[in-house]
Amino acid sequence: MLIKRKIAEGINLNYIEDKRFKVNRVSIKFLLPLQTSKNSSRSLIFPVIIRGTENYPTEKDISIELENLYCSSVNSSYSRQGNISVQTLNVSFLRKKYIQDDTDVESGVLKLVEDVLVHPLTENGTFKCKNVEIEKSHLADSVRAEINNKGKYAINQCVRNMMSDDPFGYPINGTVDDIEKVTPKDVYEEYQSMLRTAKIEIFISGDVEMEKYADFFKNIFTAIDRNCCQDLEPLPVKTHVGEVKRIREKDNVVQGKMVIGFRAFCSNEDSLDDIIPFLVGLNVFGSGSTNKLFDNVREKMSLCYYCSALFIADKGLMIVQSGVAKENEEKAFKAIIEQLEKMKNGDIEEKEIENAKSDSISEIVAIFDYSKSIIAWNYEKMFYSKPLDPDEYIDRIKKVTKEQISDKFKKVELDTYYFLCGGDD
Amino acid sequence: MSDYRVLKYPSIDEQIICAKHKSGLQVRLIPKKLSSGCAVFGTRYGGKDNCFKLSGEKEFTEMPAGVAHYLEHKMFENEDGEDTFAKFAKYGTYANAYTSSNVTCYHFTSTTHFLDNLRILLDFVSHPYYTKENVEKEQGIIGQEIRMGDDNPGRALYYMLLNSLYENNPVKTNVVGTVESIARITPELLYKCYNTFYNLSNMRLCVSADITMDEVLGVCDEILSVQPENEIIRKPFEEKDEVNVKYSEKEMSVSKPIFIVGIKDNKILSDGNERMKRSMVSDILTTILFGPSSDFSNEVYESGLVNDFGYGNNSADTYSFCEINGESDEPEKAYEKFLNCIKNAKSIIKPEDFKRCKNSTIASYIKACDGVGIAQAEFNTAIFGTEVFDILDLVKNVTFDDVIELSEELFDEKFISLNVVKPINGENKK
Repeated sequence: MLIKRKIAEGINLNYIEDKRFKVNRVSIKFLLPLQTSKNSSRSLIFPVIIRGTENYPTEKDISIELENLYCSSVNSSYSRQGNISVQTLNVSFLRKKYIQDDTDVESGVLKLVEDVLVHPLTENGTFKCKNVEIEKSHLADSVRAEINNKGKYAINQCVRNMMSDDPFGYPINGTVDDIEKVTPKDVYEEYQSMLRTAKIEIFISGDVEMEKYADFFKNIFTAIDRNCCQDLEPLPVKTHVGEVKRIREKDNVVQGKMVIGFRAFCSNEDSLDDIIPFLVGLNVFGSGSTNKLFDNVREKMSLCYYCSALFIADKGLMIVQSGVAKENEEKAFKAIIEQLEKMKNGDIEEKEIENAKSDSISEIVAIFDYSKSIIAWNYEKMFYSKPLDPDEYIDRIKKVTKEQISDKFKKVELDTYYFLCGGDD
Repeated sequence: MSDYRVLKYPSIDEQIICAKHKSGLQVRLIPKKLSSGCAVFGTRYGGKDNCFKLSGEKEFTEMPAGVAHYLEHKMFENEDGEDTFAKFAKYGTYANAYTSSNVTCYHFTSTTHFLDNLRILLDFVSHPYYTKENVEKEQGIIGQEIRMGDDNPGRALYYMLLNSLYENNPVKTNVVGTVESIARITPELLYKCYNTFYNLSNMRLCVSADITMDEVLGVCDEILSVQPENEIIRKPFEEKDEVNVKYSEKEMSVSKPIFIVGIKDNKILSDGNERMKRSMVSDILTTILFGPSSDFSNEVYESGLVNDFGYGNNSADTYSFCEINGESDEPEKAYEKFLNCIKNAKSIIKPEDFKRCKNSTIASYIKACDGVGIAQAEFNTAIFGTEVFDILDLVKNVTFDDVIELSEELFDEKFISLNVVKPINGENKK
C-alpha cells in the first residue's frame, strides 16, 4: 500500500511499507524536460558529487563510510522517460533488526544522503575541477566502449536512426565531443538548477518511520528557493513512416547483428486499455516465454541462437533483434517478417494467446515480490493518465482478444533495417 | 512424512529444510512468504567434465568439448513432441537452463501452480529423448551461440586467462565448445553422458517458495524412481603450481585495451566448507586491497589509468583464482601498479580495514537473501557441500591472521598472469 505525501511544491514522498524484506530502499528522482545539450552535464552531476562531499571529501572516505554502515549503498543513474530526463539517487541499507551490533545505520546513511544532495565538495563556487575532469574522462571512455557490446550497440544504432529528429535519438550521455566540452561550471549550474526546478519524487520501500523521512527531506528542500518546472509533457509520438531506411555497418564481427526497427503506433501516450492488447500481442510475437520468433526462426529453422522483440513504450518502437550468419541474413529477415504477417492476419492460435496472458499476468504478480520492482511499478504509474491497480491490470490482460491483438499489429510498420556485419562484406 | 533436518538461522529470519528423497536426490527448501516460487534442479556436471568413467569401468571416455552444454539444450525435447517451454508457458512460468564449467542447471520461477511446474521440471530433466534429427537440428542454433560468444571481448578475455593459468586443468575448456567439436556429438554420446552425470545422487533440487517439504517430496515421489548411486571418476590431471603463460594478448574490435590479471591459488581443499571458508578469506583480502575503499582502486580511477575496474574470486572443486580486470590504455602500467600493491600487501592490510571489510561482506550476504532467487544461490553452494546461509558463520570465523597468511601464500609473481585484448591494429576508437 502506497502512502503519498506532498512535502513541498513539486516534491512528493511515496512510502510503501513492506516488512518482508531485509533491505530498505530509498530512491530520489529528479525529473526535468529532456534537453540534448544538457545530457552530458546532467549525467555527470551525481558521479561527481559521489567523489566527494564536505564531510566525506574523497571517494575513499565515502566508500569507507558505506562499508562501516554494513554494506549500505548510495549510487546514481541517469535515464530518460520519453522526453523527460531523470536523475536518480538510489540508496539501500539493511533494516535495523539485521544489524548485529548497535551501529545506527539509518542515521549514518541519511547523513550521507544529505551531504550528497546539498553539501557537495566545491571550490571557487563550482564543483572541484579535478573531480569533474576525472568523471568526464571515465564517462567518455564508457561512451567509446559502447562498441564492445555488439548486440547492444546494434540496437542503439538502429534506435538512433529511427529517432534522429527527436531528443530521444540523441546519446543519453552525449557524445565524446559533448563530454569533453563540459566545464565544472556547467555541471554545477545544472546541479543547482536541478535542485531548484526539478519535479522531485522520493520513493521509500521497507520498514521505516515515514514522519522521520518527511521531516528529513522537508528540512533539506525547504532551504532551497524552489521554482518547480511544470512543463513535463512528453513530445508527441511520430504518426507516419517515411521511406524505409536500410543501414549496413561494418565491424570485425564473426556473426551479423540484425536489428529491425518498427513503429507500433501504440505508445505510453495511449491509455493502458490501448497498450495492454499490444503488449499481450508482443508476448505472442517475440517477448514471451514461448513466442513465434523463438519457435520458428530459432527452433524450426535453426537460424539463430536468439531472436526476440522488445518495445520502447515511450516512443512506440518495436525492435526485433537477432544474431545471424551473414549468409542467412535474407532468410532470417524473411522469416521474421513472415511471423509479423501472421500477427497482422490474426494467424494466432488460442493457446498462444492464453500462454501470453498467463505470462503477462505472472510478470505483474512477480513485481510485488521485489522491493526494487515495487518502486519501479509505482514510479511508472505516475506517467499514465489513467493508471491501473495490479488487479485491474490483470483483469484487462484477461479480457484481451485475438481481434484486438491483430488490429494493433496491423498498424505496425517497418521503419529501419540495421545490420552490423563482418569486414569483408 | 519423511525425515528431514531443519537448519535455523534466527539472526536473519531464515531456515533451510534438508531432506534426502528415497530416490537418492538431496532436496533443499528455503521457505519464503512471497507470491513467486523458484526451483533449481541440476547436476554437478559442466564444461570441464569431458573425460570420465564410472567406478568399475576400465577405460576413461573422452567427450568432445561442449557436450554438457549441448545436452542441456537437448533436454528440452520430449518424446511426446511437445516442447518443454510450451508446457511451462501454460502457467505463465519462466523456465530456463544454463551450463557452467562445473554444473548444469534447469530452473523456473512461477507465480501460480508451483507444484505443477515442479512436476514438469522433474519430469523433463529425468526423461532424455535424443534422436539423430533433433541432435542435428541443434548444430545451427549452438553454432550461432558459439559465434555470439566469439564477438564478446569479455568472454574471450576470460578464456585467455584460463589458458594462461592452466596447462592441463580441464576448466580451461570452452563450455560451449567449438563448431568443429560439436559436429562430433551424437545421440549415443549424449546418452552416455546423461546416464553418467544425471544420476540423482550427483544432483540437487533446491526450492524457495511458500510451500512445505512434504509437498516437494510428494512431487518427487510421483516422478523420480529409486536409482542406485553411481561413483563418477573424473580423469585426474597434473597441473604445475606456476602459471602456464605469463602474458597473452589478442586483437578484437574494442574501443581500448581491456585486461584481466589472474592469481592462481594452488591449494584446493577437498572439504566443501573449508574450501568455502578459504574463498571467503580471499574475498576479504581482495576487498581490502582492491575494493571501493582501497587506495589501489581510488588511485587507478583518479589517475584515469583504469576505467571500469573490477575484482573477484572464482573457485570450485578443482580450481581457484583471484582476478582484477578493467579497461586501460596502458595495461602494463596497471599491472606494474598491481604488482607493487601485492608486494606491499602486508603493510597495506590494517586490522581496522579487515574488521570493516569483514562486516561489510557479512552484510552483503544478508542483503542478498531477499527473494526466491536464493534457491539458485543455495544450489551453487550446496552442490559443493555448503548450505548458503552457513557462509555467514564461515565469514564470521575469518581472522586477521587468515587474511595475512593467504596473502603470503598467493602473492608470488610465478602464480600471476596478465592477459590483454587490444583494438585491431592498435587503433583506439576516438
